[in-house]
Formats: sequence, structure tokens, C-alpha cells
Amino acid sequence: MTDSRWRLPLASLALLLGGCSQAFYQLGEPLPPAYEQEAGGQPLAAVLAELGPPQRISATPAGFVMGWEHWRIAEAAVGLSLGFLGADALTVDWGDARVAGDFLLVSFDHAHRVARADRVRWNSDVGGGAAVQPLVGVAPIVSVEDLLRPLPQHGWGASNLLPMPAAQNLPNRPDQGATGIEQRGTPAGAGQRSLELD
Amino acid sequence: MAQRLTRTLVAGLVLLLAGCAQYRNDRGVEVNWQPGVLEGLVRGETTRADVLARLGPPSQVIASGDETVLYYLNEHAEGEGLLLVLYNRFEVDTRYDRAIFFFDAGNRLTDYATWLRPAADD
Repeated sequence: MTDSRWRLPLASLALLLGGCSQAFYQLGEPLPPAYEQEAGGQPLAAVLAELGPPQRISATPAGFVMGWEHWRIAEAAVGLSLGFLGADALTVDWGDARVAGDFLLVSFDHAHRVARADRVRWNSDVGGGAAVQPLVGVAPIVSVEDLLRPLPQHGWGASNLLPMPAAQNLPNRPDQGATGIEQRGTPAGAGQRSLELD
Repeated sequence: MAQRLTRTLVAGLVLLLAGCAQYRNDRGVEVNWQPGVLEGLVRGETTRADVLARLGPPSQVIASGDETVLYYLNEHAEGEGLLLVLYNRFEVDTRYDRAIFFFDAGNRLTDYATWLRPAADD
């Protein structure tokens, strides 16, 4: 009886060869609640004193537009071998990703006053999948890499060296500081970067 | 005897296969905007050259009409991982040290702000 008690976990360890992985990411700092409701007309200095420098900024014909963001991203994956069912050559994988985002967009006029403040929050499932694969799980079934990319300012000086067609779209790219900003995770084929889609 | 051996084997297996990981990543310009460095900055007087001399080249330069903006950014990510083979867990926290300076047509400072992550994060 005692031996049989250990057989199950040992057999599971040897046969399932499965596992669970969880990854949690936080980007930026939490933003003050309801800030957008009281920001109208405030001077730039007051906004910067409250929120600090923005994570994203661009000049606009009317002045500046700035973005502050806070993200929490959770990714989970489970995989197991079907060996215990006699199908040694197959693995089953499942994955899921959730995102809680908070994005504050503030526009300033040339007099450095808030012209408009908008905010969007969301908490939603952003991807997932399941797969039956031979031998080992090779194909990833969930990925949040596009949401974890560094801020675009790091690559500003090297933008002219981007491969085509991204370099050709340089005058329209939203990471140049003069053509607007875009939210994290915006696909390359959308908006001002439509031309970059291969 | 067999029971003890089994337990030892299981415990040994768990210990052998367990692990942990730490992760740290810094991207961007060197963080030179500590409060002491910024002492003496005066709106309407300090020039763009003064700021560049203190902080060095920025991550990005932005122009809007006659105004210019110097934007400095350092991206700091820290992570920890627990690897237990059957269960793995990773946590990564990314913070952005940043500074921004606005200059008028005469290259005089009009507004500025900085943010440094709390020292406890180091």
C-alpha cells in the first residue's frame, strides 16, 4: 500500500513530462486615478510635476501630445505528454495571456496648457491557444513579445538604418517625435505604419 | 527501507531539478539627472547647451515650431524566476527613469521634469 502511494507521483513525473509556466510583467508605474477629469487647462509644469515626464511624446501642429502608461501582463502555459495514454509521440499544450493596461493621453497647446486629456483602461484576454504536437511542444501557442518591446526612443537615432519598407515610411513613423504616438502592441500594418507591412 | 529510499529519490530529484534565475537589463542613456546635477537650472535662463553639458546627448530630440525638447530615457528591467520543472514562475518589473527639458526659440529652458525610480529598487 505504502509503495503504491509513491507509484502515482513517480509515474506522473516520469510519464507526463509536463509542466506549467507563468510569467508576470509590469511596465511603468501606476497612474493617479481619475487624473484626466481634472487635467483640463492645467499648465504643462503642473502635469509634469504630478506625473513625471511622459513615456511617449510627439510634437503636433497644435503643440504636443504625451502618453503615460502602466501595464500588467500575465502569461500562462501548460504542457504535458500523452505518454500515460500510450501516445508517447504526442504532447498537448495550452496557453493564455491577459493584459491590464492604463493609458493616459494628454494634448498640450503651444501655450503649454492642457487642451484635452483622455484615458483608456482595459483588462482583457489578449491571446491563447492549444496544440497537439509531436514529441515535444515546438510551436509557441501564446506570445506577448510585441507588448514587451522597449520604448521607441532607444531606436530614434538609428531609425534611418531600418530595413525597407520601414525606412521608406520614416516620415510617418509614430516613434519619430513629430508624427504622433501609438500605444504598445499596435501592429505594424495599422495606421501610420500601414506601409511597413511586408 | 524501500519507502525511505523512494522518498530520498523523490526529494533528490526535486532538489536536483529545481533552480532559480535573476534578470536585470538596462537600456538607454546613463542616468545623470539626479537632483544634485540639476541644481541651478533656472527657467528662462538656463540654455540648451547648459543642459547638454550636464546630461550629455539625449535619447531623442523633438521640435515643435520654434520649441525644442530634449528627452532622456533609461529603461530598467528586473526579474526573478523560480524553476521547479513542473512549475516555473517568472516576474519582470520594468521602470523608466526619464527626464524632459523644453526650450523656447532662444534656446532658454521653459519647463522640465525628471523621474527616478525609488532607490529601494536597486
